Order: sequence, then C-alpha cells, then structure tokens
Amino acid sequence: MKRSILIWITILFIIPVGLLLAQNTTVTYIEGDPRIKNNRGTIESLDYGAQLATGESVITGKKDLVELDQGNSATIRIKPNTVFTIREIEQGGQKEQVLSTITGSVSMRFNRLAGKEPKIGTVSTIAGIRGTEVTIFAGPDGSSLFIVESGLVSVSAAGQTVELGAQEAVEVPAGGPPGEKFSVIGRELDFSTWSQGKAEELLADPLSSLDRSAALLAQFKAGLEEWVGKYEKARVESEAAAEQMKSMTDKEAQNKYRDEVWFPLALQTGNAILNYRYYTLSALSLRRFVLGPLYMQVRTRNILHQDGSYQEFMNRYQEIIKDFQTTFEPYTNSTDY
Amino acid sequence: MEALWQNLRNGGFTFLNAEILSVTPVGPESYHLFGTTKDAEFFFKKYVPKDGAIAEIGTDYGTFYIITGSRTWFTPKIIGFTSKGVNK
Repeated sequence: MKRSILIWITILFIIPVGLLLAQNTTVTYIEGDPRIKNNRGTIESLDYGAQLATGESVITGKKDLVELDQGNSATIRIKPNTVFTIREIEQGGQKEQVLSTITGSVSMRFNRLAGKEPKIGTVSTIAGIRGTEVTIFAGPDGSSLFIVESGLVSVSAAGQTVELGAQEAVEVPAGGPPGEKFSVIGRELDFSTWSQGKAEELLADPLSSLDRSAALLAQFKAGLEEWVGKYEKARVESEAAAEQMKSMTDKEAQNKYRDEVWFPLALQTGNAILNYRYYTLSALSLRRFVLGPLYMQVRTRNILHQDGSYQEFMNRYQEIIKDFQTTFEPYTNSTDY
Repeated sequence: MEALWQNLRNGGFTFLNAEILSVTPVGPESYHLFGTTKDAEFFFKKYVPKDGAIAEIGTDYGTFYIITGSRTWFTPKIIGFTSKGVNK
C-alpha cells in the first residue's frame, strides 16, 4: 500500500520534472547585466552558458541584451527592457512550450528542419509557427505586435485567428481579437516608438485600459476554471483508480490496470495542473506588468490632483485586484513572486 | 522606478515640512500597510532586507510610510513607500 502511494506521489512530481527538461535552452550571448528569475523564485545575475528551464524568466534592463539557443532548432534574441519566460501548456494531449514575451521585445528564428516548433506568445496571445523568423513586441498596455520576417505564424486571441506570412504583421489589443494584418514592406517598426505610443494611449484613457485588462483577466479566469474543474475530476478518478489498483491481488492484472487506467489518469491530472498554472501565471504577469505600472503611473501623476475620474479609476482598480486575489492567488505559490 | 520619481517631481510633490513620527523594524505583518495581496506579502518576505525598517513621516501632504533597508555608505536605501491619503 505504501508503495502504491509512493508511486502516485512520484508520478505527480516526475511529470513536472519531465517538463522542465523538455527542451534545453542555453544562454549563448550576454550584454550588460541581465537577470534570471529562477524556479526557486529568486532573482540572480544571468551567466553565459546558463540553462534556462521551463518556468524561468530572463529580465533585461535598458542596456542589456541576451541571446538564447535551443540546440540548432531556435535562436531567441531578448532585447532591452524585456521579460521573457518559457512556459508550458498541454493542448490536445501534447505538451508544448510557449516562448512568452511578457513585456518588451524579442526576436526568434526557428529552424524548420530541426523538429517540432514551440508556440510563441505574449500575456494576451498565443501563436503557432512554421519555419519562422518573427519579432514580438509586448506593450505596456498588454497589447502585442507580431512581425513575421519569414515563414508562417498563426496568431490567436479571444477566439479568433489570423494567419501571417512573410513581411506581414498584426496587432492584438489586450483582451481583444487580432486586428487586420498589414504588410511591413517599406515600414520601419521600432519597439521604442510603438511602446511609447501604447503608453500614451494607456494614460490618455486609463479607465478603458483597466477595462481591457479586466476583459483579458476574465478570459484567463474562464481558462483557469475549466482546467481546475478538469483537474478535480481527474484527481478524484485517479485516486479511485489507485484504490482499485491497491485492492487487486493478481500482480499481472494490477500492472495492466496501472498502465492502462491509472497512469493515463495521473497524466491527465498533471496536464490539468500545467494548464491551470498557465492561466494563473498569465494573470499574474498581466497584474504585474500591465496593471501594476498603470496604477503607479495614475497614482503618481495625480498625487496632488485627485478628481472624480481618479477616484473612479482607483475604485475600479481595487475591484479588479480583489477579483484577482479571490480567483488567481489561491493557485499561486511563493516562487511565482 | 524612474517614471515614479519623475511623475512625483512633475506633479510638484515634495515631502513638505517632513517630520519623522516613528521608525519601526519590519515585521511579519508590515506588508499590511502596503496591501493585502500576496505580491505585497512576498515583496516584504523576499526583497526587504533583514535590517529593513518603516519610517512614518508626517508632511503637509499627509502621512507617508517609507520602507528603508540596506545602506549605500551610511545612508539607508528607500525600497518603497505608500501613503494613507494625500492632503491637497
């Protein structure tokens, strides 16, 4: 009996560990003094040659630049003032990496011949790729811009998808579907200018910005609730299967039951955890890198002039934060902060 | 961080006629002054040094709570601050 429980606990811990080792990502170039937020939840200097595991983030300052390699399958260039994270999600029974630009700008080049390509994304968007050179801008308002140099990118947000080919781009507002794609031939798209424009839009109408973030949080909440429900179901079923397995006396039948019934349920449980954590961490990133800075800007800009619209903003902000605390915080842990 | 101080400066804010009302070492419940979120809680747990303190500062604009800790030469660094309402 003790052995069965041990196997169950071991499986639950092995699943995430297996995911962590899914794809080696190595730091191959550094400028400045970039940082890594590791899976122990601490922030340290990033060293040349370091391996970046799933769940870890690279954080660059205004004079930093980092290049990562995933063997010969991908090169990732992380530009200044950026937070870049490797996440993992389960879709259709397959675990997939999501190379996420939380804020700032990242360029990626993927080698079509080197095997399965990961997903790419931002706080608000996820995209599939095929043999691609792509640059992603993640703005201070939670919006994203995907610029494809070569290959194909399929950008999905709020239930809609846009297919991009070479020299095409699309912008995705926080909480909304992708806009119209446009050609980038003859256009210079510079992150600083784009980001500055987004920051100005954000501050011109902070209440609308809050509403867009709230819409995006509502999408994350729906995803979280769906996967927490699936987790609970899979957990109950796998625990029942474990009990059933323990009660079996025929060793051969027990092994067959373990492989065919219990183990798939244990995997489903692990995958459900992976996915609800994905939505939780997306919400936490939005709260930190979009809502937090917006609050700071509005509060400090109005510190001596707090009119009705300021109060309206603060009340709405507090509502959103309370909802965040109730919905997402219970699924976070100390290493997320 | 740069934007925060720039905005305060542009808005004409100063710690006008500041007076230190109290200085207390940071404790397990100190984060409540700054919020009840896990962000606030873990900020104190992870990023406020062991020698951290909270200075309560009375000014003409109201009362402010400044988190200090570590030192550059002999001067404690400001790690964060908040207010409970601002007098205009």
